[in-house]
Amino acid sequence: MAIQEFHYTSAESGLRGSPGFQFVKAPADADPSVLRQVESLVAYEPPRSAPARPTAEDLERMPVSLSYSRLPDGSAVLCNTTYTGLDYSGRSGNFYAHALYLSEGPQALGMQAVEAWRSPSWQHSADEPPRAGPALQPGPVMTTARAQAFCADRHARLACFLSDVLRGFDPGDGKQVIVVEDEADDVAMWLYVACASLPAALAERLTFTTYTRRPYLSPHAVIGISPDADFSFSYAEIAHHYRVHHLDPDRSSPADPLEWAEIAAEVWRACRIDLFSSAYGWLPDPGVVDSGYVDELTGVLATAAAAHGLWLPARGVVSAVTWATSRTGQDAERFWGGLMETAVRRHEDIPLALLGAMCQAASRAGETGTGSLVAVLVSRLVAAVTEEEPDGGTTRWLLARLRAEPELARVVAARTRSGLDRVLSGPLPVARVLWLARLAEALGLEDTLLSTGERILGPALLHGPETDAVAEYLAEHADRHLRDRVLDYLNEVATHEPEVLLAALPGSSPVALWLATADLTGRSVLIVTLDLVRARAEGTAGDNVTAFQRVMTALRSEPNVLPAGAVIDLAIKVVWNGTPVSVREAAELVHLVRVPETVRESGLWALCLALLANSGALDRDVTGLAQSLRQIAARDRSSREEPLVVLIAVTGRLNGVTTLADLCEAVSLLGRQPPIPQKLRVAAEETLLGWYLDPLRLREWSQRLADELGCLARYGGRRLIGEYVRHARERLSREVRKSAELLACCFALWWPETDGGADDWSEARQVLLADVLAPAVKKLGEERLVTAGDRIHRQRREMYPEWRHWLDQQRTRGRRLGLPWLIYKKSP
Amino acid sequence: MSMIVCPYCFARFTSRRLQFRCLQSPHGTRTGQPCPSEVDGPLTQFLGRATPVRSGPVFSANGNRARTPCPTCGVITSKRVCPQCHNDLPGGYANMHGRIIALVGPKTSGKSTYTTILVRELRTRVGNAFDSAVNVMDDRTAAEYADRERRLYDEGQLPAATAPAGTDLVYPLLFRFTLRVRRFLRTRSRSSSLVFFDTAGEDLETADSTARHVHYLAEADGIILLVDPLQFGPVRDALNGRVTDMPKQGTPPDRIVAIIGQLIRDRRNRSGGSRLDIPLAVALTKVDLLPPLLDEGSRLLRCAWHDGALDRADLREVDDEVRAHLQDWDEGALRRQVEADFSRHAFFALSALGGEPDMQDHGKTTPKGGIRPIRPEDPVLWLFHLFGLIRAKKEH
Repeated sequence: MAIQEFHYTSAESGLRGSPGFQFVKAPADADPSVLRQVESLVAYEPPRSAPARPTAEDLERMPVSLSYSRLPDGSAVLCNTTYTGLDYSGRSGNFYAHALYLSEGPQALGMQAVEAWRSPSWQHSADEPPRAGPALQPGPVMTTARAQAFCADRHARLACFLSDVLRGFDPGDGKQVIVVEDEADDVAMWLYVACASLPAALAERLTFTTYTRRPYLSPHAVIGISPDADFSFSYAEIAHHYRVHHLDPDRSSPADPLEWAEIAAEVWRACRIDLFSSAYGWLPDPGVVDSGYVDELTGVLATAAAAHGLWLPARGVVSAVTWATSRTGQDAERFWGGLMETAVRRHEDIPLALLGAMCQAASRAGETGTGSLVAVLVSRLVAAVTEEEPDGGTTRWLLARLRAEPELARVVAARTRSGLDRVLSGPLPVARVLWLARLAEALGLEDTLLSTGERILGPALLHGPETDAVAEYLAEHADRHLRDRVLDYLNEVATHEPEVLLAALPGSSPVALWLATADLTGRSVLIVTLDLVRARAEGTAGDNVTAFQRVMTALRSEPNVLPAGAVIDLAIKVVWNGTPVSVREAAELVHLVRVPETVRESGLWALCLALLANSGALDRDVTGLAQSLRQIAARDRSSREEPLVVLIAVTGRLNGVTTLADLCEAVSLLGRQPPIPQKLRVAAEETLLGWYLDPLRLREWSQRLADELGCLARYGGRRLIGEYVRHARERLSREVRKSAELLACCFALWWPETDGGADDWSEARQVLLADVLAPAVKKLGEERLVTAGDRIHRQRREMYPEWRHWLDQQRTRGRRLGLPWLIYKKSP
Repeated sequence: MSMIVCPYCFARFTSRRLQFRCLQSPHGTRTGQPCPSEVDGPLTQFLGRATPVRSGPVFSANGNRARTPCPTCGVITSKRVCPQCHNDLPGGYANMHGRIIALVGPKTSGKSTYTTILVRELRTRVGNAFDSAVNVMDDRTAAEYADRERRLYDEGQLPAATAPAGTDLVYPLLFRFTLRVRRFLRTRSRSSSLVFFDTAGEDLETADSTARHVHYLAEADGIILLVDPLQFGPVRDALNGRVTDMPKQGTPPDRIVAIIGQLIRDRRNRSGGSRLDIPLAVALTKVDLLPPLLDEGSRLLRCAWHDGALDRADLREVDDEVRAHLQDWDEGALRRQVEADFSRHAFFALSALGGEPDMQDHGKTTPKGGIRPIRPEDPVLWLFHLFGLIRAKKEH
């Protein structure tokens, strides 16, 4: 038989034959092991607070223990135990247990075990006559209406209780649930609610007892106890060993509700418990209740609840959408309609990516009426674009959908325009702008994009990692007005910062390819720049100066020609593109431009000065550039000559044709120590003093030498004259000792006082005579001194007496000073 | 280091092997988190549960220490558990010698009533005479004993019928017996734990149920067998009409002794003919009903005066008198069975209530004249003397 009935109490006679606790009724063929198992499940002790001498009314109020146990072989025992007070001998402590042994499992009951609470089928004493009819009828207490009222009253604890019941199925971490209530009826109602909230397969596995005094010994998953039960409510028990639900929160386990339970509580609140069976209808028996199954349970219940418009916590909405989205083509179709409405209403609770996935899934499922959802998705995407990157898959799908359904696009556009305007007016990463641009295009809102042309897309075309993407977009999709905005921006860049444009225009780049096909009419600088880039790529541009001439020609031929100086400046930037212009190229440019004003306005003048300042050496090119500039400056009467240019131009090419005026100017500049680079100044001094002290020139006996020296004496200043003396010592001291003619030349040059010469020079010539020429007198010998005297007599007759005089002085100077030597000579 | 017998699973082990259970306190932990619960396999097995029992982690340490820190959370715990079954042992249980006393008897012999009154007498009158103290050792016993004492003494309600062990797990009642001992010039306290097992009468009716549910008999240090004299035919005949609630006859007492003896032999792997050295105290209960059958001035009806030591002479006379009556009532069957199975035994007579319970509509209550127990302590004191806990008077 599928159901066997057992009755157990303390009786004077029973199946054992002697007085005491025993089975008073049991099937004749009952297995002894079954008897023992049933006996182990029937124990009852009244609450400690129960009256010592209970009246009939007291006995009625005693908690009834309805226990449901599963045995290892799959069978089950449902036992209803009531306290009866006195036994046959007048002793208290008797109870009557009516147990049903379900050998083939609980299915034989035809209902949930807890529905047998207060069933009229239960016997409460051995004296009751046997009932007729089915083995067990449902009790009158367990009704949906009462359960809903009960849940409304205990709503605050409901989710926690259901969570703990579900967790109790976890073989690894499940804990027994202890429900503390004054009345066992309330425990039974908790159980009814739990069983109704669970899938049928789990509810059949939920073992429980509505009452026991000794919960530590109870093997059930849910244990109902009264507040005075033998349970210590210690911290460890409440927090770790059990999940305790007490009316007193301080005696309850910490709340830790599962999402499933929160949703289930909302289902109860909404009085829609039909949703449980509707949701779980297709769920198989899980076997093991693990986190995956709990997620599944959560998803399906959330979906059912959301589809029926129940209010859910935010994470419940997310679970519903997640579950439905991941099960397209399965059992989720029945929920789509309602779920989409909920999603539209609660879209702010749904992560954007999930909302996108939901739209796609709904479309794949062939759902109609997804327009509102798409509109919401677009609004959310636009609003969120400032903070997160739109999902690629979603955006592709969305654009395709909008392009394919113009009517939908029109509706969405009306709701999106303001948001699009708002986000496009702020700073945005380029990739997101591109996506918004495509969206705007799909929605027919291209006009909202125009401001991004010069503000975002133009710069992005020249800088950053999105260059290719922007070029591709502009080439393939962009609206004509937007393209014009971008091209205007590029022309501006080409005009003012051509190097920026050139850097972005390698010949085969997407930017260059797009510009090659773009309509550039009226954007002359951009055209010229591209032309140069193209020519260079083809190798037809020639050297820089040639390219410069080409660019100049092109720019001057454009209708909107720039001012001459600006054109040159632009041409230089375009051609040289940041590379340094060489001195030689600069000189050529100066020759090409010629016009002094243009040279100055274009910046070429400043460029050349910078080149000269940085040159360091007075080589041919530098000198040539300086002379070119000097010629330009000479034509520009309004301007003053640059000291640097003059100095380099004069000293860099000193020769016979150098005018005394130029030389004087150079000497004067050096004497004043002009603000020119030190290196350049030293080089100029070296060159100048080398010119002055060249032995070959000194032997020429020309008046020009005296004039030049006079120039030095008058304008050179103390420092330059000092340098002259130092150079003379270094360069001429040795030469003079070898050459009588050079001695004579130098004497003739240095001896006379110079007209207008400064005191500095007077001192200098004394030093030169003493330090350079005087030592040579002793070295040359008398014969060569005579030769030198003859040379002076022949070239400067008027100076000969001075020569003789000076020579005598030099001859005697050593004797006067050499007293020891004299004593030595005169001694015998 | 002392040898301990677990009062729950009767495993024997040295105190050093005791294990500790983490308190799972949230305060003062090393990690900031309390230790998580663990499935306690041994405890689950002990309770015979299919569903696992979760409790604080059990760890090994030197069991001789009263307290030790949990190796995981660092919180100091003093909760020691049996290394075999993981039941929590009462505080101090490991530091004193435990004595397991099994209280057996047929249905309606008054075991639960006797246990309650015995403890009360040991705490009060007998304690005063021996300068001893008796108190509960664990919360479970405290709750149970307080409930029984309240119902019996305050509400006059006899204890409820004890449910058979087959319906629920039988937990022992644990008491600490402390005696002040004067030796030489010093007075010291000696404590011993007393473990009482209250058995349902149904469990002793057959050898099968006894073996299944009363296996602790084999581990007992002493057994008190309560015998209801109303089970003997001559007594029933003699008192017929005088006793308002004559119980039905159940399993004969000599049969119960035989069952117990055979169980212990089987458990201890002893041969069938050997006598057991477990002390067996056979006590006739409800002696207050027997005056018509006793001699006038019978010792069985007056309490002994022990005065700090066991009055062996008095007990011997009680023993002789009971043996004589048993010879009349069952032709010596019980006496012979006891002598055949137990080498150390004695016969006692007592009355827990001191009068016949009053039968009311709402059940049996204490006698109208109040609770006046007669010699309830004699069997226990005899066992205490055999255990060496109390001394005996010198006989002259």
